[in-house]
Amino acid sequence: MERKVITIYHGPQHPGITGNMSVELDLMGETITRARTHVGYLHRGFEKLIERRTIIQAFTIVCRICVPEPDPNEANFALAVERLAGIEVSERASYIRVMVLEMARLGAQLLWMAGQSGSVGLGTVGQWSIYDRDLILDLFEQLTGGRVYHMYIYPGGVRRELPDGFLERLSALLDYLQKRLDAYDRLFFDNASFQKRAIGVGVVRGEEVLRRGFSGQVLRGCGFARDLRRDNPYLLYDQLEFDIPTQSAGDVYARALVRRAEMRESIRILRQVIAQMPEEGAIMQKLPKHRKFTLPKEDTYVAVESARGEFGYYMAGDGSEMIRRMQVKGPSLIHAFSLLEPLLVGEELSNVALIMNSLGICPPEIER
Amino acid sequence: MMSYLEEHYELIHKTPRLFALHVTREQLLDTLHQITTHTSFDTLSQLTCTDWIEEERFELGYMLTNALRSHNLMLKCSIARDKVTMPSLALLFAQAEVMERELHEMFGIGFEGNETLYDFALEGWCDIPPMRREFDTLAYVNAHYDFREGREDNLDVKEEIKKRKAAAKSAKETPSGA
Amino acid sequence: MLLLDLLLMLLIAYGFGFLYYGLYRNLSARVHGRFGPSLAQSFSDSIKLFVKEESTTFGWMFYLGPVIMASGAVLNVLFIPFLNQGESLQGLSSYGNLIVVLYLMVLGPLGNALGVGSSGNPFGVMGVTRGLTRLLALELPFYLAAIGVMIDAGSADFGIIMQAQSTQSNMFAHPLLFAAAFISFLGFMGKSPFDVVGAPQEVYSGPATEFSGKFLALLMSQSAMFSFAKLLLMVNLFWGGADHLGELVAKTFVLFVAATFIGSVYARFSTVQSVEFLIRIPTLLGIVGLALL
Repeated sequence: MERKVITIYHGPQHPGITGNMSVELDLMGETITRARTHVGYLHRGFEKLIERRTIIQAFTIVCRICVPEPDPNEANFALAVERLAGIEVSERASYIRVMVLEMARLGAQLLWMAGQSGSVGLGTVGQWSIYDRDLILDLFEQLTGGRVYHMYIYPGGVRRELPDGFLERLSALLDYLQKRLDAYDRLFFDNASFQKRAIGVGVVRGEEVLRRGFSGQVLRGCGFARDLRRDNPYLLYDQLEFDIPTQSAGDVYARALVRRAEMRESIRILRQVIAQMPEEGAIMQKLPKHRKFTLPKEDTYVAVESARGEFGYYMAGDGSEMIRRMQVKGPSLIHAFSLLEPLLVGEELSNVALIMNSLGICPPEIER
Repeated sequence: MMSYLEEHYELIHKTPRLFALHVTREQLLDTLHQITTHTSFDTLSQLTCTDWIEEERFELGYMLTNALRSHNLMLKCSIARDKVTMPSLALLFAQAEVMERELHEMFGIGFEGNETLYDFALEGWCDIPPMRREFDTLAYVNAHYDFREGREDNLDVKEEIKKRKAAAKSAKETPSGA
Repeated sequence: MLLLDLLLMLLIAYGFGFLYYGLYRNLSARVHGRFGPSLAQSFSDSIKLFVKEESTTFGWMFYLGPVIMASGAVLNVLFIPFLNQGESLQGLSSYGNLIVVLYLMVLGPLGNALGVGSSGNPFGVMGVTRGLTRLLALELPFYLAAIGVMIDAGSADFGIIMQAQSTQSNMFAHPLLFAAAFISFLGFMGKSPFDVVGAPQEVYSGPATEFSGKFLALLMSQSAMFSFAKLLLMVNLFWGGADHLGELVAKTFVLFVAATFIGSVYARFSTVQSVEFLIRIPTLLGIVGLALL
């Protein structure tokens, strides 16, 4: 009997897609026989814009490259400019950067939890975790003036001193979140119905995963403890104590468990930062004037570990005050194309949103 | 790992964990093959392209990383801007396929052997590839889009800044309470 | 007199159907840690949609779907007695029995399949396919429980079934049958983990994808009334029915709250998983319950 194949577009206007992208699916019944990722609904030409902008002008753009977690972009941009221009950052500024990055990571994990639970129809978790993320955003607002886009980590340091009593409030929030994580364990991670949906779905395994350029939870979910914070340390991560959680199954549930443990690690890092941060110290180096802030004709590559994987920036200067070329590589580029397309084949339609969320695919960083 | 590279190539140390290496277009595949077999740099993590229009060349950067993710090695390859084809790495690295597809669209570089060089983010683009430096974004926008009139009561930003500066200056000259 | 009674039953079903829908939105909002919409919202949604025009048309077969569904829901409400005594609010129950009601419960989804199938929307068709697949699995345990109840009472008549529970309700007399029926009742109510039909992350709104205006309002109203009918059915079969309207409201409310709370803490199964689950656990419970009769 000949079976009819229908083609549907899963996105860009679909509740089960992670942002403005679409996956073209060939379906036989509800089984996927071919998947193709399409992007281009969100291309803003950031890399092109940055080529015509001075450093402070480009700085306001980079955070917009990734919506759920903008701070790794700011950190990458700052690290790359500092490396090219030869600027050293004070210890206190580095601690503040680590704090911002870990807060952003925690917020991004909570946002992921909302997406992942929403993809299996468990809306309650999403409502809770978005509320908890908002508490982190409140702190960001006190610190930087912005809730989602912070524009805080600037080459040379950070842009503002901590407000009075900020670390105490952060510490109180961490105590609260620590308790909330137990509630999430009960409602989400240990929920039998989520386990039934997630175990054995979207399995990524094998030695080959390292060669294919995957990063983040995809690697850690199949047993490879790779984390740039440990492997290629930046800022002060080599002076902080934290573990790299791993799982061996490589499925959606394994990646969820990795993220669950990472949230606790982020809290642990933040507590160390609060304890160790020097009380006094400059937060910003003296920088050249706006039009005199030039980069030499050199290039460099920096990478930080975002909440979803390796976030790398290639930056080349040409002796002028403009940046010659800045190329962004987010984890999603590889995950959304060379991983997702083969991974979806043979899966049910109901698992598409589940798998996409667990890979942490985020289109804004694919099409900068 | 490093000793092999030091012995066989002119390695540029950028930082303790980042190295660079210049190769020609013809050497690229062979060098990559040697490096991936003899050292642990066996993952392609990024494919970059910089347009040096004044030197009439593109500089491609093949960013390799090792299995431990601790070191990065960049293979740099300059190609002429007009003779723009490169051998594809799709057979060596699966992830190269989409990276090459993006560069093909944004810079117009052809990759021989890559079957997937169709539209990436643009749809039906028939202008010059937009990331080339001769592509003028402003001219393109002026040619293709209309500007919306602002509100009637909107203010000229430059004028307003001038006014504010003048006001601040006059306030300084006549301090209050004097 | 009968006509007036029927009209009153429909009005009660409509009113309580949407009241419960509003309460569902509020209760699940409280579980989520937020405030839900006002209770009037679900009524005004329904009324607003009834006065709107449709924006799509796929021919008369398409419109027939909601009409068949609505007639199934209305008949269901009319054939299930609201009270276990007296003359009023008995509806057509003296002309039909549990078997008729069980038969009518399938009418809606079949009508829906007809209508949605003619729209040609793949998500609609997928939703209907999922609905029918799940229905097969839902019916099995529910029928087993219903058969058990009928055997116990020695009749398929609602009055006799409710009378037989005057000393002890079926829920305590036959807990296994109740468990089987309750699990499949969760599925009939479209609660997690069995809410595969209109799963937004998978098939948009499923069967309702292409409907708009009056026909969407008809779909919403019938689903509200149908939910009330299902609550009634469970109360009549396992909780001995209700002596008066107050008891009816109390009993249906408890059942409804239980279904809402259970629904908000479970993730959605995939279609295959929910069919597997329903065929295994509640069906087994039903069979053991039957054997213990």
